[in-house]
Amino acid sequence: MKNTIKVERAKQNMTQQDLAEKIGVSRQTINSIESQKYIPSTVLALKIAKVFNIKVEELFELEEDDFL
Amino acid sequence: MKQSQAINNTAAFFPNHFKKIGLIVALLPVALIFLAKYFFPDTPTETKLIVKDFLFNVTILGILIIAWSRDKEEDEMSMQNRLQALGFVVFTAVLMMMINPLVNLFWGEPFQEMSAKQLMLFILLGYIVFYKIRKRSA
Repeated sequence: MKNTIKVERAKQNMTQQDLAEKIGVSRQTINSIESQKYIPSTVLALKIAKVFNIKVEELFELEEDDFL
Repeated sequence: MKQSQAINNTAAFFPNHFKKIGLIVALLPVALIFLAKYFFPDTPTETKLIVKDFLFNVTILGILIIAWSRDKEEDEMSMQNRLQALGFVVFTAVLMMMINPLVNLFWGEPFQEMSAKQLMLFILLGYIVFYKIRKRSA
């Protein structure tokens, strides 16, 4: 599952630490989500989307492999 | 860092400062053994064995406290890392239990199974180490 968190962060001039503090997780967690090592829970995904004021579907997108 | 219960379901763990308490509890027996050797050199072997057994339990308790203490920043990914570490170490412990007596035989030692305390120590230390590795590789 790919995501556009890095892009959205850049748009809002926000660091990983800033985002982590806003949603109450560690910076490592944000880094892992961005690098697609970790898939966040629904609650966390919704929280991230809310920070960027966009829909969760705009932030996360399923890939071909996710349907296998 | 305040977190919602939905994301941070880690209430069952000790607070972060318990890691230091656990370290002191785990290292205390080592210090006590050195002190006992210096102050009570003529202790009977039977007493030594009982004290050694007790101190080993204290060390395991200390390591348990370290393993069950929260990180400074605990979140849902930490929980996933903990789960993976626990799964890995249980899998390894079962293999270790089966292989250990055979390794003893190979080296010419008597066929002896791991004791429950050795297994407990292996599980706790393995869990701590694998969790740290998972955390650093994230």
